[in-house]
Amino acid sequence: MVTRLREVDAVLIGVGLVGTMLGRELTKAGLQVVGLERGETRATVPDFQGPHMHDELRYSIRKGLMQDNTRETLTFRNNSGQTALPIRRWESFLPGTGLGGAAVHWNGQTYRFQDSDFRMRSRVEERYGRNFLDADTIIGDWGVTAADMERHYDRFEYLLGVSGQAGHVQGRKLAGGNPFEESRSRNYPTPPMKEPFGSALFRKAAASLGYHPYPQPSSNLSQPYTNPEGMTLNTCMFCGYCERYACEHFAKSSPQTILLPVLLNDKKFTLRTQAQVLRINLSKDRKHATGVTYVDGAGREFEQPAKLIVLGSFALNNVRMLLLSGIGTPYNPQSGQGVVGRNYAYQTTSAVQVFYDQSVNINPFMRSGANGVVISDFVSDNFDHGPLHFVGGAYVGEVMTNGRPIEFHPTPPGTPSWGARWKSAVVRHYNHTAVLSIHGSSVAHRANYLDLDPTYKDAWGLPLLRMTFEFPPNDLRMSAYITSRALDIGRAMGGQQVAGAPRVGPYTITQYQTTHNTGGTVMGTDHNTSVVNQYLQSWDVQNLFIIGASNFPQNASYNPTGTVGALAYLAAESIVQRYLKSPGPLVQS
Amino acid sequence: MNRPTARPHWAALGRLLHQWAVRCKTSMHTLALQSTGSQDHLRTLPPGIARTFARDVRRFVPAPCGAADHPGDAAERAFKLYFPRIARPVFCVFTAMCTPLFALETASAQSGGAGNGARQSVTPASNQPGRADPQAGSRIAANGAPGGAAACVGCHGANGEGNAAAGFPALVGQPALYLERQMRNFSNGARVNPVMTPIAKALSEQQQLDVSSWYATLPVNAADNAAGAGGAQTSAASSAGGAGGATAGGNGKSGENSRLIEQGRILATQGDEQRRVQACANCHGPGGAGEAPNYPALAGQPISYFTAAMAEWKSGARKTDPSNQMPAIAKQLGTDQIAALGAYFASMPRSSLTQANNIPSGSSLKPAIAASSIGSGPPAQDAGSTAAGGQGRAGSVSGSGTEQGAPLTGGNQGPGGGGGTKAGNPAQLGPTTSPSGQQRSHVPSSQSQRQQQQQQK
Repeated sequence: MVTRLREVDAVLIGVGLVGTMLGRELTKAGLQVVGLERGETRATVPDFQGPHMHDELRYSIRKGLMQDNTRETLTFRNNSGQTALPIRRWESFLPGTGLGGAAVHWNGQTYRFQDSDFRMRSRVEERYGRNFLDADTIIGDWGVTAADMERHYDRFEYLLGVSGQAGHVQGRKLAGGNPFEESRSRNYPTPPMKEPFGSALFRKAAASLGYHPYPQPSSNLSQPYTNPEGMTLNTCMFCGYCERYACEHFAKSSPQTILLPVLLNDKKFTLRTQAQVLRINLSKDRKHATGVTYVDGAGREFEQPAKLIVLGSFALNNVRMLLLSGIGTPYNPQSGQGVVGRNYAYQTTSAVQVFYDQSVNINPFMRSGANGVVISDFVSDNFDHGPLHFVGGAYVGEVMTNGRPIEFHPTPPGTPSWGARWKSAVVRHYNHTAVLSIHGSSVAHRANYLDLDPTYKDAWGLPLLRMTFEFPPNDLRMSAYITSRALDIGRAMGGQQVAGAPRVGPYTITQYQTTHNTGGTVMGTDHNTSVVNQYLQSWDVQNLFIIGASNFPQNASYNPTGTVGALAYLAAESIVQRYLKSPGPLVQS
Repeated sequence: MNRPTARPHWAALGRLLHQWAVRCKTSMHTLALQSTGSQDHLRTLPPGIARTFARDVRRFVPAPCGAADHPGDAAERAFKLYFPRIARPVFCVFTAMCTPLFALETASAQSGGAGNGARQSVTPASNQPGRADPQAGSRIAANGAPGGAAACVGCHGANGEGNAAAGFPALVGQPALYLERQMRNFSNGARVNPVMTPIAKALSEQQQLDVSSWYATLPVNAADNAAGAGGAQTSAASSAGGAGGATAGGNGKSGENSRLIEQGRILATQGDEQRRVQACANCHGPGGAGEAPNYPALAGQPISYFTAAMAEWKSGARKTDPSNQMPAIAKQLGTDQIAALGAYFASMPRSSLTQANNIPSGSSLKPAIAASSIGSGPPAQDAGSTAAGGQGRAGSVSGSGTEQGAPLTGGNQGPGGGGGTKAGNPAQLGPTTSPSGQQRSHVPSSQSQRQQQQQQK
C-alpha cells in the first residue's frame, strides 16, 4: 500500500552538504522543497558534545557515524574474474549517513582543482601527445574550466569560512600561498591555522629542497567567522577528534554550522529523516521523473511526486540510485559501452614516517583535521610528466590529524606487531614521529566500474552496488615516483630514521585509505561518455540533477570536497537561472 | 610485577616497592598484609626512600590525599586512568601498600606545616635558576612582596580557597601554567582588573612563577576543609540565591537554587544549540574539573567570581584567549544563563584531577604518560634489532582495521599500504634510511639517567 503525497516543486535525495546547499538555493528561488534523508536528524548540541564525542571505540573503530552496513552496503572485487562479496565492516572508505551527511565527519581539507584537472585528457594530449596514455585509461574532460568554476569555489569557500593563504589572487602571486593554484578572485575568508611543530619541520625541509610549502586550506577555522548566510563559526581548538567525528565547538564547517539551521527555519522547506528512497519514478517515455518512492522509519511506503529531483547523496549511492531506477545505460566493461558506473576512481595514497629522537616532541594529539603544511610541486600537471611515463600527481604534506590512543601507534619497520617489544616501541615513538601524506590522483580505467550485484540485496530487497576496482598501473608508477620524493623530504627533516613505501596492489578493502570514491555519474559534453551534462543535468531525464564526487571523470590529486561544493553551486545556478526559466534539456544531446 | 616485559611505570614502581620491602626486612606480600594493620613499621622507613617513593607514587596518584579523599580512591582513579585492564587483586595489593604511605605523608604534612618534604618532592628542581620555587612563592603568598604586592592570603585565603562573599577566586586546584599566564596578563594589560593589575605589576616574572607554582601545588582538600564542610556548596547556595534575583522564603530559595543549578548543569554538559554555545565540559573537563595546563578549573569557584569573569570576557576587559572562543561564548550567553552556570560550577566539588598533570613551568618533571618512556626498566629493545633481517618481517602494519601511525587525513594509510600491508610481502619493505647508527638502540635521555641515579640511591 503506497501513500501518494501531494506534489512538491523539488525533492532532495539526501540532506548532506549538497542537499543542504541545493535546498537553500531552491527555496530562495521560491520552490517548495522536500528533503529526504535516510539517516537521523542531528545537531551540534546535544549530539556532538564531549566527552562522548571523543569515544574512539564508538566512532573510529565501530564507525558510529557511518552508513549502517547491516542494512545497506556494497560488494567488492578486484576484477571481473572474481565473485564480489559484501563489505560487512567499513574499512577502506567510510560512507557517512544522517543529516549533514559525510560533511559532519570530514576533515575539512578544502582544495580547488586546477585547470589541468578539469581538462585532463586534452591537456595530456596537447602536452605529451596522443599515445602517452596507457591503453584502457579513460580519463576525460569535465566540460568546464577552472575559470568557469572560480566563482563557485569562491562562494563555497566563503560559505565555509575556509582558513588559508592564497598564492595567486587576480593574476598576482602572493608569498606564502600555493603558487600553483589558479588565479582566484580574492583571498581565503580567514587566515591559515596555526602551524604545528611537525608541519614546521616539513616546511623547512621542503623549502630547503626548493619546493613551495604552504598551509593546507582548512575548514577547521582559525578564528570566529560569520558567513554570508549569517551563521557564525568558532575557532578550532585542535582537539584531535576531527575525521570520523563531529565537531563539538561549532568550529568545523558542516551543514549544521554553515547553513542547515537557516534552511530548517524556512517554511518552504520540509525535512523528512529516516526516509529511505527506493527509486526515482519515471514517466512512460522515461524522459521525465515524476517523483520518488521512499520507505519511512515505520516501514510505510510513500510516493513523493515532484517537478524536480536533486540526487545529492554520497557518490556511490548516486550511482546505485540511477541503476535501481533504470536511468541511463549501465556501463559494460567488455564492450566499453554505457555510462552509469563508468569512470569509477579512487585516490592513490601512501605515507612516509619520520622517526625522531626523544628530544623532538611532535605532540600528535594537538592537531586538527585539516591543519598542516603541504607542497603542490607534484600535483596535477605542475611538473613535467614526459620522462616519467604517468599522468596525474599528488600533494605531499605533514597534515597529521590526531594522536588518538587506539589508532595512532607509529613504529619503525621491523618492530613486532604485538607483545612487549611492540609496546615499548609505541611508548618510545608515540610522541616523536611525524607522518607525511602523499595524496595522489586516480585515473579512470576501463576495468574499474560500479554496477548492481547479481546476488546480494539490501534490507529492502534491492540489489547492492558492486564495486570492481584495482589500482591502474599508471597510478602505481605515479605513487612510486612521488613517494620517493616524499622520502627525500622526510630525510631532510632531521629524523633518526625514515620509512615509507609507495602504494602497491592489490587494492585492499580492509584498510583505511580514503573516502574519496569518485565517478560513476560523470559530467561531460558527450552523452556517450557522461551521465550528466556540464550543468549536472541528466542526459536522459531532464528534470533530474545529479551532484557529487560521482560527477568526477577521474579523481585529482586534491581532496574532493571543495570541488563537490563548487559543483553544487554550479548546479544550483544552472537550475535557478536556466532550467526553471525554460524547463528542458540545457544541452541538446 | 617486576617482569622485564612489564610497562616501564610498573617496573619502576616494582623496584621501589622491592627496595622498601627489603629495607623493612620483609617480603612485599607480608608488607602488604601488615600494612593494613599497624603502621608502626613505617616510622622506621628512612626518609630518603620514603620521599623517593612518595614522589614516584605521586606520578600515579593524581593528588595529595587528605581525610575527605581516601588515598585508596585516588589510587584507584589513577589505576583506572593508566592501567584500565589491571587485575583487581594486583590493585588491592598496591592500595594496601600505598595506604600507610599516604597516612605517613598526611601526618608529616600536618605536623610540618606549610612547606613539607612531600611537596618539595613535586618540584625537585626548585632551586635552579629560572624555575619556579614554590617555597619562595609561599612567602609571597603569606607576606606579600615589596613594591605594593599585598599578601595573597588576605583575599584568596590561607589555603587558596578564595572568598565567595567578596568575589575573590579560588586559586587552589588551578594549573600552574594557567596561574602564571594570568599573572603575566594582569601585568601586561591583556587582562584588566583594578585589584590584581597593580599587584601583578609589583611582582617580578620570577616571583609570578613562584607564587603560581605555590598555589598550583596546594592540596585541594585542605581548602575545602578551610571553607568548612561542604564549603563550596554553601557559598554557592548563598550567592546563587542572590544572583537568582528575588526569591521569597527559605524553601523557595533552595528550590530556585536547585533549578538554577540544574539549568547550569545542562548548559555545562550539553550546551545550547539556539545560542550556538558548546558544552563547557568540552574544554574545562567533566564537572568543571579543569584540564591542565591550559584550561582552568571552574568547579568550586565562587559564583560571584564566575559572573565577574564572564563579564570581563563579554566587555573585552579580558583578552587572554587567543582562540577568541571565550569572548564569543560569553557574548552568546544571557545573564540568567551565566548565573545558572555560576551556580552549577560553585556547587561542584573541587577536583584533584587537574593536579595530575599540573607541573610548574620550568620543572623537570614530566606528566605521567610522558614519564613512562623514561628511566625505567630494561631499555626498549624496539625497532630495529631485528629489522636488519627484516625481509620476511616487513609487516609492521597489520592487514586490517586500524591505522597504526598512518595519517587519516581524508586519505591515507600506513607506510606502504595497499595490498602489500599483508605481512611477509617483501614488496612492502620500504626504503629505510638510517643516517645514525645509534638510532636503533635505546638512548636514554639525561632525564632518564637522572632518574635512574635517583633510584639507585
